[in-house]
Amino acid sequence: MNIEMRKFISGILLLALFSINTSAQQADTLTLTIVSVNDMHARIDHFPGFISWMDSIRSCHEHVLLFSAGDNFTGNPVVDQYPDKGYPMIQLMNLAHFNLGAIGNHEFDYGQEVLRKRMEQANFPLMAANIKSDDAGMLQFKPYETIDIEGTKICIFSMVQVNNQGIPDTHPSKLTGLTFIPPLEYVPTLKRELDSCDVLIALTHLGLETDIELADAWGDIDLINGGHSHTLIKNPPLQNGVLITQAGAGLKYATVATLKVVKGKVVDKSARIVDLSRHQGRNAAADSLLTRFNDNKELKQTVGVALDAIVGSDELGYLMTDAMAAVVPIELAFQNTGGIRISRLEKGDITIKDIYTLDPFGNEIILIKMTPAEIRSLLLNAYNRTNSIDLIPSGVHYTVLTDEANKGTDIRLYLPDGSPLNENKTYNVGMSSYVASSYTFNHEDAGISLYIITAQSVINFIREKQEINYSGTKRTSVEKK
Amino acid sequence: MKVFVNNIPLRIYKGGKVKDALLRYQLHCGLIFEKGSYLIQDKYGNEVEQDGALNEDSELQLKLKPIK
Repeated sequence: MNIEMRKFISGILLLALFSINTSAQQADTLTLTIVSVNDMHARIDHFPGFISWMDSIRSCHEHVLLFSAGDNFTGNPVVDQYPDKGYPMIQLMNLAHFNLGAIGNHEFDYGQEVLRKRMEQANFPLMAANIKSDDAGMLQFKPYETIDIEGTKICIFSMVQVNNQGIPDTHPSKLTGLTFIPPLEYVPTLKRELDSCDVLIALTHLGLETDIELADAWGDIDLINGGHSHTLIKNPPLQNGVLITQAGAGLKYATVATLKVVKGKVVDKSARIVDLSRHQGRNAAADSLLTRFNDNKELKQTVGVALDAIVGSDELGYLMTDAMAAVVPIELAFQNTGGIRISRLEKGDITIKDIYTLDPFGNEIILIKMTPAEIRSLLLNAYNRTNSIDLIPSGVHYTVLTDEANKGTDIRLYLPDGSPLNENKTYNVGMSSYVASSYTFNHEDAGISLYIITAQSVINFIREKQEINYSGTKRTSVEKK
Repeated sequence: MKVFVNNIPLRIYKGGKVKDALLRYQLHCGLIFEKGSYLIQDKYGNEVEQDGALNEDSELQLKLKPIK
């Protein structure tokens, strides 16, 4: 017998031995408990109760897996402004012993370098099958993970939402060098790669509507743990035989799914939603971390200096709109006075906490392409809501012309140098998501979110300028006809 | 993008969320709802949160909670 033949026979024997071994080890019956949460959005205050509840779950069930279906970050200044942005969430998720996480669109909000660091710190993989990096030096995402429990092969894959522009909902500048494949287009590839699993789980950040399409396209999936649409599925449905779950947002709920596996096949499955506020206990280690994180020195950090007190909604509004207008490609910006929540910023140091007190709502910047006529309709309607100036501008000055009853009848628009706007031009106008959604105005362009929080733009602007002064600035006026 | 609240078609900006659709709905119908006085559901009857993402043609139902 030659060497090649010996190698071949040894290989066959090894393979046979491995197969026998595996099937001998596989439990006849296995009950899996899959706990999933989604869209936690940095709600670290809920972790002490959540971890204590997880301890209870683990004490009563043998095989427990804990998943996050994406959007761990963004939504809490304590986490978003931490020196290592997002790190408190990772440390608490490590303490909770998460097994796996899906990449959500908001995982990119801090930029790819920060995400890379957070992924390195996490004791669990953050996965996405439908993201491809343009070169090997960039962020790489695991498409799926295989977990073996008593010989049962459990495969879990992840996919992230892709919008009509072909990217997830975050600022495009955060996604350089990454290619996103529409989730359903990637299903055939995954089917080929995951054809030998006993249990198949999709841990997705796609939104319920796409999860339903995924279930229709791939009925072999046993369970979809979803996120993104912040849907509270109280009675998880079977769609094409696939169990679909989602647990609202903000770590207020969790889903507990139970899969019964007999001889490598799921024979029974169910899921229920758990209201975490009803759990009484708290985890002491998490409480201790929380106290430390909430004493966030970063929020007390000075970002710049006000050379004089910034007083009233006009001056504070100028600061907010100048910050918006500093975001590319915005040319003109407007801020409603109702969104300005303090009456003055004192002369001297300005802290991050000051900015969040000025602008606490978490509104996003919306870009709308508008003609001067459309801008006039916005300003006129805004004025006539209260018969007073409501929208504070940047990049443009305006005068409201009123009748005897103080009702606005027309708007005179001009650039800061006094010249008129080009009536044939379409301007890139920035405004808060609140104004975009709750004000009446003519606009052909529906607009698009830049996925930047307005408060963050103010922080960036002051950091860039270092010194600001709005004393004596005036950009609006009212004139009776 | 176009979304529906209580079968009313509404136009919101791309990337708009559940809360944006509700603001548009209130504006469109001349209604003002007190916080906590209503429930928002998707077309399958699931409760959705204010920050939930929407797609083109997403359908929402706004239901007033009974006054206790």
